[in-house]
Order: sequence, then C-alpha cells, then structure tokens
Amino acid sequence: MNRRDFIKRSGLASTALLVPRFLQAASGLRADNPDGPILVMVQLSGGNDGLNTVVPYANDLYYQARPGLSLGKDEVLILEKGMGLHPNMEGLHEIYQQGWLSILNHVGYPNPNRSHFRSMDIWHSGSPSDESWTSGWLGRWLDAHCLQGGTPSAAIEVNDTLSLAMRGENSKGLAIQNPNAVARQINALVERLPQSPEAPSDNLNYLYKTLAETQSGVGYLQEAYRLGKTQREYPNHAFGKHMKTIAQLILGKAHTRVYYAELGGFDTHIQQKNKQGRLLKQYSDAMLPFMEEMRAANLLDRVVVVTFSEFGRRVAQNASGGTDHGTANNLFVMGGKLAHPGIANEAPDLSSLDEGDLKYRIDFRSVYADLLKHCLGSSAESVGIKGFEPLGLFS
Amino acid sequence: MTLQETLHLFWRAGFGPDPTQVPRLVQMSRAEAVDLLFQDAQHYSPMDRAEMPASMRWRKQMRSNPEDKKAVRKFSLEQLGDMNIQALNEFAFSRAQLREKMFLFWHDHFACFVPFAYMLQLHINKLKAEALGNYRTMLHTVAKDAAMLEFLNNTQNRARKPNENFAREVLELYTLGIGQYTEQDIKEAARAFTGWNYDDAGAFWLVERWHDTGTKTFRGKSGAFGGEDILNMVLDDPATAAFLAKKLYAWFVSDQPHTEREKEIAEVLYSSGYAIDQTMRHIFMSDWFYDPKVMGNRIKSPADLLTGFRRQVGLTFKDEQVLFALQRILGQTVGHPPNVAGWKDGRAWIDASTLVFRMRLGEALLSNSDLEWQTRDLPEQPSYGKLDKLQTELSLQHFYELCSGLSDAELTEFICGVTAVPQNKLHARIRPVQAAWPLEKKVQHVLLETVRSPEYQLC
Repeated sequence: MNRRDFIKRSGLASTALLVPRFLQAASGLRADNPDGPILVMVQLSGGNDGLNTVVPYANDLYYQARPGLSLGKDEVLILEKGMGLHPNMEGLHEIYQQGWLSILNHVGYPNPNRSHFRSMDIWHSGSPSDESWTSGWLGRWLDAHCLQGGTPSAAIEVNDTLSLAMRGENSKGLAIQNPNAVARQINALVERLPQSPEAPSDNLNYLYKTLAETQSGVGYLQEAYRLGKTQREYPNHAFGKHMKTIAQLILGKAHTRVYYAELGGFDTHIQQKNKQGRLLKQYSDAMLPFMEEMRAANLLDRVVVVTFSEFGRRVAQNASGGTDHGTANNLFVMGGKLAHPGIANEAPDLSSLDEGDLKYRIDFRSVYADLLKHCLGSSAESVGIKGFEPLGLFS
Repeated sequence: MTLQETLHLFWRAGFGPDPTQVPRLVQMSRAEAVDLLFQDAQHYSPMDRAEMPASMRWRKQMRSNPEDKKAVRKFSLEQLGDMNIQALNEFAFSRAQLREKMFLFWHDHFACFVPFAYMLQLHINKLKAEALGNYRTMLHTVAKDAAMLEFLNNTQNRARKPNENFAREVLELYTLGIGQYTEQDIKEAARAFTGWNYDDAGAFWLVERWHDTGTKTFRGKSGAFGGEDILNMVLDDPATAAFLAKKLYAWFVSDQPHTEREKEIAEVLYSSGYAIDQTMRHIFMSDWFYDPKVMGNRIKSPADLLTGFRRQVGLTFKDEQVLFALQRILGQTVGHPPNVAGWKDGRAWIDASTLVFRMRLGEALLSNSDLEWQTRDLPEQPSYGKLDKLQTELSLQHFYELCSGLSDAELTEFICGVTAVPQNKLHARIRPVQAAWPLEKKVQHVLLETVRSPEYQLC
C-alpha cells in the first residue's frame, strides 16, 4: 500500500499532505497562525550552576563560598549590576550587547525539591512542589488550543523522546531529531503495513490514526526543513545541530509554534570547572548564530527563546571541586521585544540563604504566564496553572 | 477455551503465553487454565541482586563525605541496574507469570523509588510476597516499609512539625481516592503517622518521642489514633474497595471504565476481607472478562512489549544493559516509576516517536537491523549513547517444529494467532509467504510482518 492509499484509508484524505488543516483550533485560536510568535524552550539538564554562568563578581560572599571555583572580575565578560558572564560565553555576551537578552535572577518555586527528577517534573508540569501532575504545561496548551490529538507538528521537540512538558492529556508534541531520517523510517513502516483491518477495535484504530497523523506531520516538516535555508555557521555538536534544525524549520515557514531543545550534562558534583565551561561554550556558540539568523530573516520580533534548568546549585562549593544540588537559579529570555533587556532584576542575594541555597523571588510559573500570553495567545489559567500573573517581560 | 480467550487470559494474567504451550492451553477449560496460573504463581523467586549495606542510614552515610557519597551512589546505581535486569528476566522466564504480573500492578500502584538498592529490594520483595495475598496485610506492610517511609518523607513527620506527604498519598492513591476526605482529615492522619520511621536494619521503628499521642479527629471519629488505626478505618470503608476495584478493572480488563463490573469486583474484594487471589480469580472466571470488546484491546505497556517478545522468540541480549536504554525510550523503567502516581498507561504509552520506535523495534530485534537511535543522557543514570545494532540471540527452533507439516495458510494463521491478537485476523492481511521458500524463511517472514504491525502493539 502506498502512502496516498494509507492516508485515504486512515480518514485523513481531506487533509492534503502539506497543509495540515487539522491544526485549526477548536477554540477559535489557530495554533498554526503562520505569523504568530514562536517559542523556543532550551533546557539545560542536570542543574546548571547559575552562579558560575552569570557571575556576581562584585560580591565578596561569592568568593568566600567558592575559594577554588570562583571566576574573577578580570575573567568574566562584564554585564551590569556587578555581574559578568562565564568567559566561554562570548556568543551570549554579543546577544546581550544587542539588547536581545533578559536575565532573570532568583527564579524558582516554594518548597524546592532538590531531586533532578522531581524538580524537572515540577518545571515541566507547572505543578506546586507537593503535587505530581502527569501532563506538561505545553501539552495542556495543545489540549486547550488545538484539535484533540491531531496536532503532530504544532509543538516539536528536537530529540528522540518526548519530554513531559510536551505531553497533554489528549494532545502531544512531536519528538523528531532529523525530519529526513524520521520520514524515511516512517515511510518504510507505512509501505509495509498490513492491509487495513475491517472492524478495528478503538485502540487499534487509535494506533493507525496516530501513525497516519505522524506521517502527515513529519512529511509536512520535511518539506519545511527542505525549504529552510540557514545562512549562519552552527557548531558541529549535537546541540548546535539541534538549534540549526529549529532555525531551518522556522525559516522554512513551518507552522510550528513551540520548539523544545535540550543540552544535558550540567550535574557537576565533581570537577565542575572544565565540564561546565565546555557545556556553556556549546550553548553560547549555538545561540549566537541562531539569534543572528532570526534577525537577518526579520523574525526577531516573533521568536522568543527561553533557557532554564531544573535547579541551580549550592552557593558553597563542595570538597570535590564541584557543587551540589541547589534551588533558585537564573533564567534567560531572548528576543527582539524585551521590556527589560539586560539584567532584569536584582543580583542574587548571597547573604540570605535557605540551607545554603538561594531563595526564590520569581516563581517560574509567572514566567510561563508571560510566555503563554505573549507567545502562545493563551493564559496560565487555561493550562491549569492558577494564581500567576504575567511579569511583563515583553514590550 | 478459544485461541483468543486463551491468549487474552495469559496476556492479562501474565506476559503472554509461551507459544509452545498454546496447543496444550487451548484444550483446557477456563477453570483449569486459571487454576494452572494460580498454581504456577507459587513458584517464584524474590529479588536478590542488592547487598545489605553496613547501615540503612544512607542519608547520613552519603552526607558524611563526598568520596563516600560517590561510592555509595555508584555501588547503589550498579545494583539498581542489576535489579532492573533481574526483574525483566523474571517477567520473561519465570513460571510464576501471574505473580510477576501482579507484582508489576502493585509496583505501579505503590509507585515508589529510592536510589538505595537494598532498601528498594526489601520493598519489592514485600510486594512480590503479598502480590496474591491480602490487601489489608499488604497496605499495613507497605506503610511500614523503609523505602515508602523514605520516599514519602515520613521520616520527617514529627509531632512538632508534621509532614503530610505520606498521609496524603495513603488516602489519595492507596485507599479512598480523591473526594472521600477533607484536607483536615489529611492533617489528622499525618499526626497519627508521626514518628513512623525505620531502624538501621530497615525494619519499622516507631520513634516515640516524635509521635503525637494526642486525640485526632479523623472522618468524624475521635481518639488517640495511631497510624494502624487510620489504615484500619479507611480499609473498613467500602470506598477503598471501590477505588481499588476501578484500578484493577482498568489495569487487567479495559481502559474503558465499566461501573457495573467495577462494582462487582469491589463487592468480592470487600466481602472477602480484601483477598486478592479470590478477587483476581473472580475477574478471570467472569464471562465479561472474555467480552470481544475487551479482548485484545489493550495497548501493551513497554514491559508487556519487551517481555512478550522475549517469551515468543526466546530472545536473549548479549549485553543486557541495552534493556535500560530500551525501557527509557519506551517510557517505563521497572524499579523506577516516574512519580507517586505510577505510570500513565493505555494510550499514554503512545506518541509519534514511541509508536515509530515500537514498530521498528521488533524488526531490529529479529533481524539485527540498525535502530539509529540516539539516547538522551539523564543525570544520575547510566548513559548509553547511540543505539545501533542490538546484539541479540534468538531461538526460533520451536516455531520451526510447531510449523512443520502445516500448509502455508495454516502456518501464517498459527504464527499470527499465537503472537498477536487472533480476532484481528492479521494472517489474512499481511503479505503472503511464497510457496517456494524454505520453512525457516516462511516462519521468519510471518514473524517480521507481525512484529512491525500496529496490531502487535495490542494484547
């Protein structure tokens, strides 16, 4: 059976392959608004040490807490308010100088959990720390604004597996590393499918439907991927390639509203200095060409990039040249329409700690409230996150 | 029993039948087959891969100095991995299929994880031992279990500063379910559990000086209740049986709720004093359990998929560590539930990428083809990197023997029937075998066609 027959039999005949009309929203809001804002979430997994990323070089307490791990004023890339970037982050420094970066300090949540898994779940689901929610905030945005289940390319994670953040109760994002490779895999499966069952059970029907929608969604992305031509050089590591893929899809005019990328390895309990430095360089080197690409394509006003980690690390270094799990951390927002470019709030307060960790002052869910309002035409309330108002991060 | 009924029973009460046994099993009556499952369930092995450490006070030990901490973590991480593989091997090859399946249910129900292998092993062995026993006993046992007390922070639950986590989950997830109690009931129950802790050997220890001996008012009753009293009060309420019945129905029968049947299960559970074996026997003997709408209409969990496949083709891995990566990609690591609520199952197992991976996996395992899969790294977990060829060994000899002398049509129907859902009639829809092929090629062809079909994802 060829692909066309399959689509026909799967009841998707009315949706031409390259125009995913099933992205039209049930609620009146079109998830596939071709001129709408685009949100790119970048997750630094493992708990990035924010204090050695945006360094409070003017604070003596920082040097007292980290005799062997601190970065000096002469090393960091100077920002403002007595803070500077890790020396490996020249790309991010350039983004800062262009006015495309807001740094928010003290971002976290009450009763912080220091387990990677719990804290990541809290960030992904948007739940209070004493509740376990089984769906993600972006997944619930899909639930609220897209046709049930049928939105395989409205939210894309450039990875092989889908994060909790992208899983709703009914709808899910699509995890895809390389559109061409996945298209090849799925077309090979579809070509050799058995003939369609006559009276499929509801779950069998669901599997066939998911497969058809995936093929259609991936086919659509493959076309955008082919059309998108990047002009900048991206570093040749996995994260660099992932940012390039996102740029390519955006330039190819994919109607995707949410992209998700991840850079892992930040769990630096031992010998942090080299390891974190290497990862921050990877991150920063990939972000600069991406942002320049967006500027060149006049997309800076539409694209918002947010970078977070599940927690920051302990203020004091440990005995192994590393740092242990902490709590509140800095968070980056990038784009062309920032209300508070630069360091948006006060530098981290190292004098008033909770068991050696920073106290949060901005709840991450108010950041989500901003993103949902500004980028996703929605609200925190409509994805089940109650009691958080937008901070006003965008102009 | 019909072939479909036989497969259905052995998939729900186990990880699918051994194909060589199917010709024998279909000759049995429903009662005989159910008896066999219960008899075989007696022959099981507890988990034994984790070693008893010098002290269970692992938090203290890990805080003592960073080198110790690293060593404890590494030691425990390796043993947790060994335990995971042992669990999957028991699923695949244990004679006690019903007990192993029940264990997975309880492991999902009492979802619990501690990064300390021996403590987790004690917990798992309690679930296995009581898997077909009595829920009252099991709840009391699990509530006094070191891993559970640790996981739900009851070690920090003290009279002066109660921690409600444990009490909340007992009421919400293990007994009454949401809506049957108030926030005040949680606070009062938490007071009754203050001081519940464990000693250096991992045994239950009530720390008297942390225990609140005062009067508590729980769901309208007042007294100087201890934790046991709270557990007994909620077990005495039929709402607990109703809550558990719904979960059993959803897990063993169908993801479409059915009020009447759930009520029937709840009545057996409650009137038998929470006898799990009687309740399960009732489910497996009921006519509605063999409703064609129910049979073969469950999406395999990752454990079902991997285990069922291994049982069908006698699959072994040269490097068993690859099982960690497969479980992670598929979304279910046995021994490490995602959160207190356990795994979301049914359609939640399926998204675009897991479906494509699932459909390609069978072929990769059968024909040693390339998976081209980059696994993601997680903190505090072993890393795998790229997953290419899975080095596997198969034994298809049993299929060659079972199929010798069969016509092409019979061979196709037999293999599709014993490996997938017979009522889906997959045998009539796959690309046919060619008469000129040798037997081995015919068998391999039908198996390949089956494992990469959407139909194979159901049981």
